[in-house]
Amino acid sequence: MDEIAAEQEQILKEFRELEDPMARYSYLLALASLLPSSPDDLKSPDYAVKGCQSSVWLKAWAEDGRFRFIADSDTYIIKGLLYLLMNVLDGRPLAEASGAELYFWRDEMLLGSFDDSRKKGISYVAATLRTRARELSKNE
Amino acid sequence: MHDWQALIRKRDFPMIENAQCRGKTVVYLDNAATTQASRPVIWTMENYYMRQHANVHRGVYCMSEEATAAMEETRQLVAEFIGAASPDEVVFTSGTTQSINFLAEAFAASVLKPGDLVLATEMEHNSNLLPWLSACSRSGAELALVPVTADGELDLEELGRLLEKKPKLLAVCAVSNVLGTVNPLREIAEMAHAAGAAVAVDAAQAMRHGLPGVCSLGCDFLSFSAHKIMGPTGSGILYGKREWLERLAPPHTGGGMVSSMQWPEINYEDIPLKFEAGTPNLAGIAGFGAAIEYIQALGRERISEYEVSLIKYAEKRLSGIPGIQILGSPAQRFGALSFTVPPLQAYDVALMLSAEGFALRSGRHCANLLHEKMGVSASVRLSPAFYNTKNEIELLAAALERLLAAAKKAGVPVGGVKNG
Repeated sequence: MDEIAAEQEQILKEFRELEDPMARYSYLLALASLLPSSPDDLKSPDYAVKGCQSSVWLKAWAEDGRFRFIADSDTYIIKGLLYLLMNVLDGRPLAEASGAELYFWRDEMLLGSFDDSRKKGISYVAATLRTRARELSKNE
Repeated sequence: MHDWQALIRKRDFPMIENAQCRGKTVVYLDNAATTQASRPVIWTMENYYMRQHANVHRGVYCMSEEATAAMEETRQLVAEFIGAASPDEVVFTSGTTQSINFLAEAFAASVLKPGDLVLATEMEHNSNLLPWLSACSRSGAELALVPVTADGELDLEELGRLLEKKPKLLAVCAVSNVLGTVNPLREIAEMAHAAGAAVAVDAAQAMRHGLPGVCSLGCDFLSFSAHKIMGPTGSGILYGKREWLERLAPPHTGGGMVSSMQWPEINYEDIPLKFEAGTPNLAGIAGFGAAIEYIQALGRERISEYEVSLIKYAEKRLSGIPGIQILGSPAQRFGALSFTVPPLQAYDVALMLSAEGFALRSGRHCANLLHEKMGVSASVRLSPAFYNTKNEIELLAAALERLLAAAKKAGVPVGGVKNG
């Protein structure tokens, strides 16, 4: 299992230990506070992820052959998910990041109560990360 | 809990009593969006399809005659329910939204001229705002809005000033679907009529409440949906005073509304049939009738008294929880109470409560202008009905207290306090 998959399995294991859905959401709130604070210019239309019900901003770049990104949202639960996505993808070699399958966020434990528009919004975030990783990988 | 309330909850609303979702007992508090159909409504609709179904008005055979009689019986029931002078003043529609669109289209075609003024309010659901915006845009009329005060009441002084401009019509809700504000309709109608304006009332949220009859209210038009009074979705009415309905041209045309045709000259049926082109939602209308009978049997005064006591209890209980901000403080609330838990987004609060089994609504509740006015981007709304209990409100308050404690523990500065 590669490191990206291993990280996702670890996240799912943690969420499995939290049996109560309220506890899982509370955990996402706690993770939200760990999301690195973003520079003011991130919250501009240039970095907005389109299609999300909540506002999400994302900026990705390549650094020494690695995929780097920062992200933010106006919503705590989404911030928590963004923090987990950073754990999975930020700092990975570009080749790995561009080919990575991001699946942990689709698990019922995380998204079970989300409505379709929010599920779709989060899928746009994952798709944007994948696309940016591929673009940056090509340019390397 | 009132004895009658406990009995009817168990007997007539099995979903409310027994619903489970993801292993949690559901506490349904989203009645401003839609109410649960009562057992008699479900039976009536089943019976309609099992024994009665045929098209109305056009058949001389027994089933068609019975279906026509059943539909007209419901029209009579609606007329009595709203205090109309005659059942002819009741037009069946698919619900409040269609009723208002229908009226606005008819007004744009038959009444409004360039430079005319139409008034709506900042409190309106988009269904009582966008049809008027569209009617004004088509006819060249102007739409102006009556402001809402910080308490969540209509600003009647400003209404008075706007009425000096002699608008053709005032579109106003009887009860706000967000704040639960009960508007002083009689006073508003008197003011509007003195200025020569017609009054169109969106009564979607008000019909379980002890709303006075349309005749005594003096409104010219009134709309509501069956599914807000324990009836089926897809069925509602537009009430219009006879002289108005006779004056307005039907915005929709088709079968069932033509009395004679010598092409290309067409004579329409009298009211209300000239407004009912096409096959009506017959099963829905049958269920609508059963819903009205059910509400009448329970008594709107009794329902209103009980539901108001639930809202008052909710307001008192939730306003005592640090970190919860209730929107508005109108003198009289009915049916709905909205709140925020900053800095958490309303959607997240509703989502976390949903994990505990609570069915609440989050967002702007189709009242974008009102949220802007109240200075919030979205809110969580609880809207109890007579089958809900004080204990359910208490369970919600306890869940909110747990949510706030969890958020604080997670470092979210709810209530302006960061305990991370």
